[in-house]
Amino acid sequence: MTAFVIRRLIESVVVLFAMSLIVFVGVYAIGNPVDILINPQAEPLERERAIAALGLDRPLWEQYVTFLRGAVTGDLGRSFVHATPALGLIVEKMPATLELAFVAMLLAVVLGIPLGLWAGLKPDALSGRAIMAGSILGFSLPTFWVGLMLIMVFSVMLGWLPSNGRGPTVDVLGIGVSFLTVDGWRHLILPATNLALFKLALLIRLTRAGTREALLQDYVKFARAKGLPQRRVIGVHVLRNILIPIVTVAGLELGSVIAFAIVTESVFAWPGMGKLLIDSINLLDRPVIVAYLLVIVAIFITINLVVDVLYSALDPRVRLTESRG
Amino acid sequence: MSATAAMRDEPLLVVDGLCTHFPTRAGVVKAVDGVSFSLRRGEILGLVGESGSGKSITGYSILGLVDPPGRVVAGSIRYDGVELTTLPGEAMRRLRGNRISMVVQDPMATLNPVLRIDRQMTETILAHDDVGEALALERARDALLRVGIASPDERLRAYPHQFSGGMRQRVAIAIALINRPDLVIADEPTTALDVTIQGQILHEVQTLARETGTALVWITHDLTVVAGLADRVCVMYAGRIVEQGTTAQVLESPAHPYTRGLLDSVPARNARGARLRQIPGMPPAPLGLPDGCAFRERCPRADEACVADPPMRGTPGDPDRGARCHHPLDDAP
Amino acid sequence: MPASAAPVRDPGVPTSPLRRVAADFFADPVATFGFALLALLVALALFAPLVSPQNPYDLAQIDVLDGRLPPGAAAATGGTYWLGTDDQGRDMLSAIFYGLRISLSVGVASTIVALAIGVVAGLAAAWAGGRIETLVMRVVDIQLSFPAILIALILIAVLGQGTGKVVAALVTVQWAYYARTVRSAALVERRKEYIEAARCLALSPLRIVAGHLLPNCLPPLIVVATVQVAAAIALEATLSFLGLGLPITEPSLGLLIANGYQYLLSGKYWISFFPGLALLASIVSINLVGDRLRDVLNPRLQR
Repeated sequence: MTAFVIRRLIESVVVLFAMSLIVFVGVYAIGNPVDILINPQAEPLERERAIAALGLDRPLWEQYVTFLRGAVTGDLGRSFVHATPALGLIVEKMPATLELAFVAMLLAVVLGIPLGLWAGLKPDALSGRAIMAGSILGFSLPTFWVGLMLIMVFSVMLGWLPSNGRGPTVDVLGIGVSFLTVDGWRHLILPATNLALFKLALLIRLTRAGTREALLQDYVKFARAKGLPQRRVIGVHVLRNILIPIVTVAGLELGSVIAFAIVTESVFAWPGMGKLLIDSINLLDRPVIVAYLLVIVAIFITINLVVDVLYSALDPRVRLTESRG
Repeated sequence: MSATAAMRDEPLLVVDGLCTHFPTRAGVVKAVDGVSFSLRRGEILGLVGESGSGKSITGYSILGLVDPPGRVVAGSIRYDGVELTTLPGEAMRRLRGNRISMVVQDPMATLNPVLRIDRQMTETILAHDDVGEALALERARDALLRVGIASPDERLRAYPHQFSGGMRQRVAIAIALINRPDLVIADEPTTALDVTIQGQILHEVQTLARETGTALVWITHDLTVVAGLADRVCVMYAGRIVEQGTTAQVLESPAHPYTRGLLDSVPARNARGARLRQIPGMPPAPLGLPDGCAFRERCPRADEACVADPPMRGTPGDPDRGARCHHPLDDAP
Repeated sequence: MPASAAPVRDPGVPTSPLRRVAADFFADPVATFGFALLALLVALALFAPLVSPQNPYDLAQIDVLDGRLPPGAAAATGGTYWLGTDDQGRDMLSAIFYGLRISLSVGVASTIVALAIGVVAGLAAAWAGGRIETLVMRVVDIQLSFPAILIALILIAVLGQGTGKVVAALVTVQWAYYARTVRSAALVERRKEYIEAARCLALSPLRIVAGHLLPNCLPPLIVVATVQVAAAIALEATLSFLGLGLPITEPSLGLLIANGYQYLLSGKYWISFFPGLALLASIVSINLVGDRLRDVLNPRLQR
């Protein structure tokens, strides 16, 4: 088990290193780094000074070393707009995005698994077909438009929920969170629903397919032949088997939820990293874009690592082969 | 044992005119179409047929576990005087795994891969008898010992993939016998195993069944398996029983040409070096069953008479011996 | 067993594969509906100048005084704005027809380019094997592990904005799906005897790959391409909505929706709502067709 974790850790570092190289090539070699990293509105003299300070007059490999050193020490340049370290800006906005993403994923899991289970148990019933039709719609609906419609119905027409912002936050260990107050939830619920919709559709499909497959397995038939009540056959024998892959997928999808938050945050003016990214792209605040990119890659790699380790801890088959080998 | 003696007269299981059909878009598949047989307490019945003959569906019908869209559409299944085809779901569940249990074919797939063995065993007890975890665990331990599994305490804490195929089938058999049922339906439980392990398990099951007075329906395509095991044999073809009798009667003087063909295609019965005799042709497609005798297109004895449905011809004085054929082989009495 | 209860195909008169696929396809009423809806949308997009009540981008035909009228309002010039007008006084119905035209063409164009690139890369990987295969598939794997929206946004951020750059971003996002699909299909086909036979005839590799391998990879490609057109349309709309997609001179459905966003909060829903409905109809109809094609063309499901 320990050997497995160490091996996966080394792999992750290698991928992170490779991604830093790609980002570097993208920003420094393909794009013009002077345009990307130095404020175009700067005075010519200041420009010269900045080029020298960033080492853009140095050979490419030396620039990469500088860039890497900056990335490792957390120095990814200063925002043109805010004149503060770009990484600091991202980190400051991260809790808002993470909170939104976690609540969205939770919604998707809590609703998606039971609905998918139901649709898998009753594939021909009206209810099962309705759930599947809903999930096809969930895949087809563009996230941003659903967001607009949620605002239209719940904020404008009904006036039940606020349409933008995060509302007041409560500090927990120095990090502001919304989920501890009623007002926070009122702000959270629409964007989280919006963000959850696509993953909800995905989890319904996955659970349904897994359920239908599990029902055909001999062990389910045998569990019935043992005279177990239906709720135990479904709740223990079927669910246990499909839950491991589903939880794995849900974990892996967390990264994509964080990335998709870009759209939802823009619609609901949610003050997270995604909205910061869009604002930065519009304002040509490139150091922030680079910092966002590296942070999101690091998040993806961390999630993959954690999910892999958890998966091997959950599945007895994987767990035991690993400990033996 | 006078009470038992009285019960022996009444068969444990009476299947009468059972029809299990599968409606599909292309038509109705008559997987089981008018099957009748009976079984006394402690008796071992071999249900023999090729794949698709309806022998497994017959077994699942008794347990009420036919997969939809399949359904028992006619006939009756009486177990210990109780009609099973109309029994409410909860009452049927209380019989399953308790009075009637089942062992299925593939030992690699019968046990749930993500649950420990102890859980899979104790849940079978607790579903029928609320004796508490500790006592259930004790019984599970004894059950493993009975099927010849050494160091059961360690084995109980293992997962199925840590067992070999033979071991898994032993565990499955232990689970099937754990509540001391009156009837076990075994659907080719040894087919997927090595020949040596097959032999061991057959022997153990036979011993266990005799000791506990458990009746067995042993479903198989392999006549050599029933030869050493069963008291009586029913041969199925295309959803019907075409011949029945004691094991000696059916194997030594078959009356139906299909049974004859099956016996001839068993390697051990042929002289060394001689060509294996095969039944010509293929089993009929499930949707394209011919009128009359389903075997007539492959039968060397078939003539115009066979276009009409042959009745089951019993033997005077022996209602359990008979063949469904217009032209039974003459060496029948 | 129920497995043997599979319906048997009527072996009657032999028909062409296309006819058989079409017959299978239209056997499903939902898919038929999707196909009809898609045909209608494509027709509206193609003939937008003919069917639109006005040319929404001809300044002579629009009147700012008619701005933000609700659906069903009468126009100053006579006629009715069935779906209302936007802030400039454009008839929304006409704007949607023109927007469909732009959204569908960007989606289809980027799919065709991505398809070409992906097919070449995938076939090259499958045929050449070795290092080329490893390289191509590694890039594909890494790319597909990140969400499309993220990759597209980053490309736009690095490349800058404009129609060509949006198409380039859509192509970059999509090609990997085709490469992966073609490679896996080609790897299966490669091992079959007819390829061996073609090789023995000393046909040139190009002829074997293009003439024999490619046609057999087509069914899965058609399915993936259908679904990807819908994905490309949705992605373009999202980028345009975020203000990072097509320029204002190319008002796609996404831009129309973005344009109505600010009026939504004051209850003027129609400027965003109806273009969104058109977008939804396009994506749903394409997905319905794609779903059915997947069932019809999947050899594993053919019995």
